[in-house]
Amino acid sequence: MESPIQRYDSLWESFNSDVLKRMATLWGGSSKMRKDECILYLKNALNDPQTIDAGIARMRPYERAALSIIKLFGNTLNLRMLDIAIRATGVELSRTNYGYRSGDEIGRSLTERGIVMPSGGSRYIYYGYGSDATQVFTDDRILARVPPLECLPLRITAAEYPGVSTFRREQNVLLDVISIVRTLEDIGGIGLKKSGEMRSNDLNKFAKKLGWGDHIELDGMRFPEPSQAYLAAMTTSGLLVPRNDALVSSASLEQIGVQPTIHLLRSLTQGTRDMTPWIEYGSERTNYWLKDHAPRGRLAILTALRCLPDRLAWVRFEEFERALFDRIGEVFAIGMLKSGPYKFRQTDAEYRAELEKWRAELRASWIQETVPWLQAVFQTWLYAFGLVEVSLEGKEVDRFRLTDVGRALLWDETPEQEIAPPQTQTPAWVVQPNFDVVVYLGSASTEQVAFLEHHAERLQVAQHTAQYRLTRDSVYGGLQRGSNVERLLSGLAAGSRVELPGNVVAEIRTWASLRERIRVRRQADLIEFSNAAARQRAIESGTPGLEVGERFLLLPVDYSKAAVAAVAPEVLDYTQKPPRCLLVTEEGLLTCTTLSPDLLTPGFLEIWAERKSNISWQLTQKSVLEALRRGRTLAELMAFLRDRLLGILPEILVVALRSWAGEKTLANIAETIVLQCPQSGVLDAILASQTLKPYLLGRIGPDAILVRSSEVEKVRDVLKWAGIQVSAKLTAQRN
Amino acid sequence: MLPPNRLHRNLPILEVGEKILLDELLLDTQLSAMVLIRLSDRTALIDPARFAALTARLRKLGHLPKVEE
Repeated sequence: MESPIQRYDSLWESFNSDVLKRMATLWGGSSKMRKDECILYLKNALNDPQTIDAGIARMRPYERAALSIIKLFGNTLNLRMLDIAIRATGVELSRTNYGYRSGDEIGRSLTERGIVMPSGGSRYIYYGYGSDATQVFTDDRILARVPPLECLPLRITAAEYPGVSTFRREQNVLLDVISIVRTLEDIGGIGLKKSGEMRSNDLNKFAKKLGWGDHIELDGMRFPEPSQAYLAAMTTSGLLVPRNDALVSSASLEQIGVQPTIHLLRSLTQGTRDMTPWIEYGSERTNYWLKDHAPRGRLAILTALRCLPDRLAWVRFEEFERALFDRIGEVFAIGMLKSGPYKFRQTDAEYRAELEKWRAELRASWIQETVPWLQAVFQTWLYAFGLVEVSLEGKEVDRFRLTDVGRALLWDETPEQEIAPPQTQTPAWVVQPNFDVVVYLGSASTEQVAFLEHHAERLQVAQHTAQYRLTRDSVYGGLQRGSNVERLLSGLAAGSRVELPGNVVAEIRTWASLRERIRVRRQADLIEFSNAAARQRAIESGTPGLEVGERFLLLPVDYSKAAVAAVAPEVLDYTQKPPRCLLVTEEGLLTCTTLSPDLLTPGFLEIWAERKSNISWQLTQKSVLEALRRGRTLAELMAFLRDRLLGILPEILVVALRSWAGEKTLANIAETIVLQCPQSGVLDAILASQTLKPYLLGRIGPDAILVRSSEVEKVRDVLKWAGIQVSAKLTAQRN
Repeated sequence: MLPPNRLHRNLPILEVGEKILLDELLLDTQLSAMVLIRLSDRTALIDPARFAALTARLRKLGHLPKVEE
C-alpha cells in the first residue's frame, strides 16, 4: 500500500510566532522574523535539500535518531513509542537540571522544534503536554534526506551456532497472507457490526476454513489466536479494509502476487507493531497495561534488533533481553511500571541507595513479566513473519539471529537486490503425473506462489518446499476467479523444471471443457418479441444476441443500450419490484390479470399451484406440499404473493397455507343443544339455577343458552317441572 | 393487436451446451424447483432468490458451472 504524501505546509498557520521562530531557527532562519516571514522561510527551507541537510546536521543525536526511526519504521508513530525507541538506540539523551530528559520533555522538544509534527497540528503543543498517545509524523521532504539510523551497538557477544535452528522463508509468510486473502474472498469478507467489531460467526467460519483453532503450532512454537492476530495486523497495515460492512482485502491475489514480498512483510510488521486487539500471550492474559504497552515494546524490540553489534551473528536471548532492559527498563515494562524515587531531603548516598533498590525491583519485575512477553514476541510474529531464525531449548528461544528478511526490514535494504526471489518465471516446481506439484520455495517468485495458490490446493509447506495438488475443484476455482485454461497451462509450464506430464495437461483441458457445458448468469438481459417474425426482423436489422426458443433473444454482455431501446421500448428490470398482476380468492384460486406478466410469475406459480387455464392456477394442499418437498419454503410463497397480489391475501388462505405447510392449527367442533327463550327474565333464571348449572355450557346471543347434548333430558325435566313449555323449533333472531 | 417487444433486464439464466443436459438436470427435483421456466431446449430461467442455491446444487451434482456474476 502506498502511503499518502505527508507535508507540513498546511499546518504552519496553526502555530504562533514563538513556535514558528523556533522551527525556523532549526532550519537556519533568524529568530527575529515575523510570523508570515517564518512561514515563508519554512516553506522555502523544506523545498531546499541543502538547507534540510544542514538542519539535520545541526540536530541533537536523539533528534536525528527520532527522524531515522520514523523513516525506518513508518511515518506516523505516537510520541511515547518514539521516546522508547529513541532510548532503545542507546543514543545519548541531553541532560536537564533533574537528570536525563523525560519522555514528555523529549516529545515536547521534538514537536516544538518542528522535527515531528502532531497529526492534528498545533493542538498538542499548546494543550497536550504529557499526552503520550499523540500521533506525530515528519514531512516527507525531511525524511528523504535523513541518514540511516545510527545506533549504539548493544553490549552483546556473538553466540556459537546452535546446530539446530529453524526459520520461515518469505514465501511461507506470503502463503499465509495469500491463504487469508483467498479465504476472505471465498467467504465474502468478515462482516462488521455497527461498532466496527468483527462478527464472530464470520470469524469462526474464517478460522475453520484455514484450519485454525485457538492457537496454531509453528515449528514447535505456540501462536495464540492467529485469526485475531493476522486480521488485526493486516487491518492496521491497510492490507484489509472495511467495504460494504465487511472486512475485505484491499488488493486482489494477482496484485499481491506482483508486489515484492518484502513490501508485504514490511506492511505486516508495521501492522503488528501498532495493533492492540491482540497480544502475544493470548487473550487469557490480556489486561489494559499489556494492550497499551505492547506497541511501544514491539517498536523498542525492532529498534534494539537494529542495534545488534553483528547483524549476521547468533545472539543469546538472555543477553538480548538484558541489554534491552539496560536501555529501556526504567521507562518501559509490559505491565505496570513502578515510578522511580524522588530526591527530597535525602543525602546523595541515601538517594543512590533508593535508586539501586528501585532498579533491582524493576529488574525483578521485568524478569517475571516482560521477559515471558519478549519470549512470546520471538515465538509469534518475529518468527512467523520470517524476521528471526531461532534455536529452541525446550519451549524457550535460547538463541536467535536475524534472517535475510529481518536484515532487509531493519536496514531498509533494497529488497529487489538483496532478498527478493526472481520476478521472472523461472523453473520453480515439478508437476508429477499424480497431479502433485512440488515447489522449491527458494526459486519461486511471489507471482509464481500466488499463481499456484490461485489454481492448486496446498497440501503442506516445509521450510524449503511446498506441496500442492491440482484437482478438479482447485482448477475450477482458479478458472472461476478469472483465469483461463491457456494461462493455467502456460504458467504451469513456465514454472516447471520438467515438461508437464501429458495426462495432467489432458485432464486439465477436460476439466476446463466441462466448465463450458453449463453457464449460469446472474444478471442477463433478454428481449421478448411479440412473435418469431418480429425477432427475425430485429436480428436482420442488426440486433445482436443468441436466439432462445421462438420469441427470445439473449443479449451479449456489451450490447448497445440505445439500439436495443429502439427495438424493445418496454423494459422490465428484475432488480426492481415486479408489477402487480395477480388476484386471489379465499379458496386459493390465483388469476393473472394480464396475458403477459413478468417472466418469473408463471414459473413460480407452476411450482406452487395446479394450472387451471392459461391465466389461472389453484393452490391446493397437494401442490403446496409438493413445492415444500422440492425444497421451497412457505416464506418464499408469501413474499411472492405479497409482491404480486393486487389485493390483500385472505387471512383464511394464510391459515390454510400455514396449516398445509405443517403448522398446527387447533379448533374443536361438538354437537350441542340450543335452548332458546325469548323472555329474558326466564332465561336469566335458567342461567342462575344451581340445579341446571352443571348441564349448561353458557349463553350465546340475547335469547339462547347452549346445553350439553348428553344432559338434555335432565334439563327438559327441570323445565317441565317449572312449567315451561318446550318446543322443538327455534325461531330466527330479529336483527 | 400484438404486445410490444419487451426488454427483460437482470434475469438469472441457466444455459447448457446440449438439450439432453438440461433434460437431465431438470430430473433433479431440488434443482428443477429452482428453475422457473424453460425458455428453450438449452436455456432456462432461474429463480433469482435461488441463484446461489442452484450453483451449489450443480456443484453437488458434480457439474462445473461457469458462473458469471
